[in-house]
Amino acid sequence: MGNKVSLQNKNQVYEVTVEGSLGLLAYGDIGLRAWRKVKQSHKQHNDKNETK
Amino acid sequence: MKQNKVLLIGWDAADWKIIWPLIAKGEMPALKKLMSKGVYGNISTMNPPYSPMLWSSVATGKTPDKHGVLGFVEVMPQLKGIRPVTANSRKVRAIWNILHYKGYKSNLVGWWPSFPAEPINGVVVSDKFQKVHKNPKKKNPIQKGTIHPESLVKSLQDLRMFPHEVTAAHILPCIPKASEINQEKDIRLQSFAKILAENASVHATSTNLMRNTEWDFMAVYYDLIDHFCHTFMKFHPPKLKEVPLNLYEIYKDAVVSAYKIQDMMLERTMQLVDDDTTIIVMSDHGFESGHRRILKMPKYPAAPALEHRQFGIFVAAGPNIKQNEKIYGLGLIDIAPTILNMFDLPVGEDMDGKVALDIFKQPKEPKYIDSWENVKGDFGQHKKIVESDVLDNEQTMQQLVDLGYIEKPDENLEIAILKTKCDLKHNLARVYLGKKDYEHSKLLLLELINTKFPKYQESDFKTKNAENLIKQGFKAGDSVIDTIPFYIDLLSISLNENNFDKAQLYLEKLKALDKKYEVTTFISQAKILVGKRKPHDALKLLEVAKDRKANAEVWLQIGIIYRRLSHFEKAKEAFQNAINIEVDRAKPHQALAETLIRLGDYETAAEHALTAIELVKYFPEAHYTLGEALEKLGDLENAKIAYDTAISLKPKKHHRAEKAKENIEDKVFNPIEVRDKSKFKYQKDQIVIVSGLPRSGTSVMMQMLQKGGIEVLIDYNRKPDQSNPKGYYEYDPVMALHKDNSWLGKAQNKSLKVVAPLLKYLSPKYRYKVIFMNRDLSEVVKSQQKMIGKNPDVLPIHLFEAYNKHLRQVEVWKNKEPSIELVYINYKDVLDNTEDVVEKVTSFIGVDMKKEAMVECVDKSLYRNKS
Repeated sequence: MGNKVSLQNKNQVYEVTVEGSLGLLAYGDIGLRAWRKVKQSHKQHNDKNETK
Repeated sequence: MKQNKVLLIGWDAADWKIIWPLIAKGEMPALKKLMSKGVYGNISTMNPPYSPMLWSSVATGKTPDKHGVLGFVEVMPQLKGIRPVTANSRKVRAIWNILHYKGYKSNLVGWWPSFPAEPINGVVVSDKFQKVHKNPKKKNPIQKGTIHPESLVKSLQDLRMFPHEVTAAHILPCIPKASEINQEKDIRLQSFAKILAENASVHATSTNLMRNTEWDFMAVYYDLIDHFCHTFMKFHPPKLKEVPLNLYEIYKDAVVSAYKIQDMMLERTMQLVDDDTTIIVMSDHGFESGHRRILKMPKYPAAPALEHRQFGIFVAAGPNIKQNEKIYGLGLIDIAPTILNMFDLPVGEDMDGKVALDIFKQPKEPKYIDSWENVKGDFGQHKKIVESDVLDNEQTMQQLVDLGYIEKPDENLEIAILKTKCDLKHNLARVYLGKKDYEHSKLLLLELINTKFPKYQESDFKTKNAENLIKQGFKAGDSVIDTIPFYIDLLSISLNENNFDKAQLYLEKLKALDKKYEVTTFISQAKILVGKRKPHDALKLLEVAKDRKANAEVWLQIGIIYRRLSHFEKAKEAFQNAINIEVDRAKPHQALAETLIRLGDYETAAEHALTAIELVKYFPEAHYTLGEALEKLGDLENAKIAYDTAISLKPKKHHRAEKAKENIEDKVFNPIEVRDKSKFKYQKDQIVIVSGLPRSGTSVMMQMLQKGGIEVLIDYNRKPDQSNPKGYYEYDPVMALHKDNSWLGKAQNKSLKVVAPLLKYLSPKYRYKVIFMNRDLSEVVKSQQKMIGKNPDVLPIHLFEAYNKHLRQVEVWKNKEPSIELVYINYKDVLDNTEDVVEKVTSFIGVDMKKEAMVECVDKSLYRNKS
C-alpha cells in the first residue's frame, strides 16, 4: 500500500496504513490525523503516477 | 497541570451483562484496570428511560420535570417545526454551569443535548459536531453554536470522521462476514459506518482537548454501544429462533465489538490523565441482551421501556475513591451532587440526588445550598435562546427514527407539532408517575384524553405520507393522536391508588380501543380483582397468563396473591420462579424476603432483602424487610440502621419503619418480657381497637371501655336489638376500611370496633392497641346462626375453617405490623373474672380508667349461646 507510518505509544506501535484501523481511531486525534496524512500522501502519490 | 480533576465518561446503554464475560476473557482490559483501582456497581435508571432526559438528569442532579428535557425532539420556536432536542430545553443549571460560576474550567464533548454550546469557561463541543451527512458529496459546515469558543472551530473541525471514510479495516474486526451482506437490501452496514464515524469524531475531539487544554472537569458522551445495540442486538448470541441464520452469522459479533472499541478508547483516555484525576465511567441504562430482546417493537410500550434495562454501569477510580470495591444503590441523579462534593461545593436542596458518600475513602460531609437556581451571577449560560439560522436536522431526525426512538414525523407540520407536544406532555406525565406524584401525572393525562384531536381523512392516505401512517397503524377516521398510551398510564395510576372501579373503567376503555391489548390485561385485571377482594379469581386469571407465557411479572403477582392469602409456601415458590426468570429485579427478592420471614427463615430472608437493596437502594420496603429479618435474628443494632434507612428514603413516609424503629429503641433501652405483644404503656395518640370474630364479645368490651372513660367512635346507625340489647358500638366507615382508611385519624385516643378480617387494612400511620376478643368458636358460630334466624344446633364446618384461618392470619399480621400491640381477652373471662380482665385491659391501654364502672357494666345475663 505504500507510505506506511508507525505511531508509538508507550509499548504499543500502531502501523498507520491507508486502510486505517480501529486501533488508530481509538488512539484519538493523533491517530485520526496520522491516518488522514497517510491517505493524503497515498492519494497524491497515486495522482502523480496517473498524470505521468 | 491542574489537580483533582474529574473526568466523566458516558457510555450510553452499557450493561454489565455483556461486560462481565468480556472482562473474564481479558477483552476489556482498560475497564478492568479502572475497576481494580476503584469502585464499580449498578446505577439505576429512571422512567421513562429516554437518553436525553437521563443524561440531563446526570448533569443536573434533577428529575426531568425540573430540568425540562422531556424527549428526543422539541418544538422549534414560533412553531416552525420539530427538531432533535437542544440544550434550550434544559431549564436548570448543569454541573458545568455551577463550576463556571466558581471559576473552574470544564470541557464538554458530545453531551446529549448540548447544542447550542454554552459559553462556559473551557470548551463545549456540542452533540451537533459529530452529526454529518452520510453523502460525501454534501457539504458539512460547522454550524454556529456547535463549538464554544468559536475560535476553536478551525483547530477542531478536521477531527470529524465521515461515514464514507470507514474501511474494511474498521468493519471486518466487528463484522467478519461483511462481504456477504446484500447492501442493496440491507442498510445495516451504512448504520455501522455512521455510528462508528460519529463516535470516532467524539473521541478524537476529546483526546485533543485533553492534551491541549487545561481543565478541572470534563464530560464526554459516547452513543456507540447504545446505537450498536439498537441496530445489532437481535443478532447477539444466543441466537433467537426468529433470526435468520445467515444474518445471525454475519452480525453476531457486532455488539461485543462496540464494547471492545469503547474499551480501546478508554485505554487511550486513561493514558491522557494523571493519577490526580478521578475517572467515572457510567451508563444511563442497560440493554436487554437475553431472552427479553425485542425483535419487533410493540405499538404500546409498557414501562419501564422495553429494550432498555433498569440498570446501567458505574465505575469510578481516583485519589479519594475506594479501591476494588463493589458499591450499591446509585441513581443517575446522584452523579451531579457527588461531583459537586468532589469539588467541595454545596449540593442544591432542590436536587433530587444525593452525594454517593460510599464511594469515597475519606468522605467529605456534604454542604447544602437552597438552590443553585437562585444564585445570581455568571453561570456561563446563554443570555437568551440562541437559534442557529440553518437548521439542517434531517439526518439526525432520520437517525432517531432508524433507531426506533421516535416515529417518523408527520408530513403535515401542524400535526407533527401537535404530536410532539402531546408526546412531551405524556413523557412529563410518565416522569411524575415514576416519582409517584399521581396527582400531577393524572392532571396531564386527563388533559390529554379530554382533548379533541383532529382525525385522519381519506385524503391523508393519498399523499406521500400514507406509507408512514399505515406503518404506524393509522387508518382514515382515526384520531391523529393515539390515546391508548394515556389510558395505560391512567390505569396504572388507578391501580396504585387502589381505585379499582376507576381502574376497571380504564381497562374496559383500553379493551374497546385495542382488541389486541391482551398481555397487560391479565396483570391489570388480576390486580383489580384482588382489589375487589376476589383473590381466587385473580389467581385463576394469572394461571392462564402463566400457561400462555410465563414471565417474572406474572409470577410476582401470583406470589403476592398467595402471600395475601397466607399461603406462604406457594408464595415462596412463585417469587422464586420470578427470580429464576429475572434474577436482577429487586421487587421479587424483597417479596421473597418478606415471605421467608413469615415462614421463619430469617437468614435467607435477610439475604434476599440485601440483594433487593443491592439492586435498588431507593427501595424503602426492602430496607424495612431487611430490618424485620435482622430484628428476628436478634441483630437489633443493624435492624435499627435498616429501619432508619427506610425512614430516610423519600418520597413517602415509612410509618411501619418508624414504629419498628421505636420498638427496637424500647427493646434496647428498656428490655421487657412482652406478652401478647404489648408494652403495657400509653402510646401517644393511640387508637384502641376492639376486634374479634362477629359475636365474640366485642360490643361488651366497647361498653366497658366507654364506661371506663375512653371515648368511643361510633355512629349509632345500627340500633340495639335482641342480639345486642345494649347496642352494637359500630362506626359505618369501618365497613369500607379496605377502600378508604384515611379517616382513621379521627379515632386517635378513642376506641373503635373493627372485625377481624378488616384489621389488615388499618393504616400503619398510627399506633394501635388491639383488644382481640376470643370466644369458643362453636359458641361464636352458634350465636351467629341464632342471630340470622338459622338453627343454632347445626354448625356449618366451612365457617369453622374460615374463622380458624382468620385467627391464624391475625397472628401473622400482629407479628408483622410494628404499629400494632395486641392482647387476647377471653370472652368467658370477661364474665367470670371481670376484675382480672379490667386490670389487664387498663394496663394494656396505659391510661387511668374507671375500673369499677367497667366491672359493673358487664351483664352476665346476656351470656347466652353457651356450647
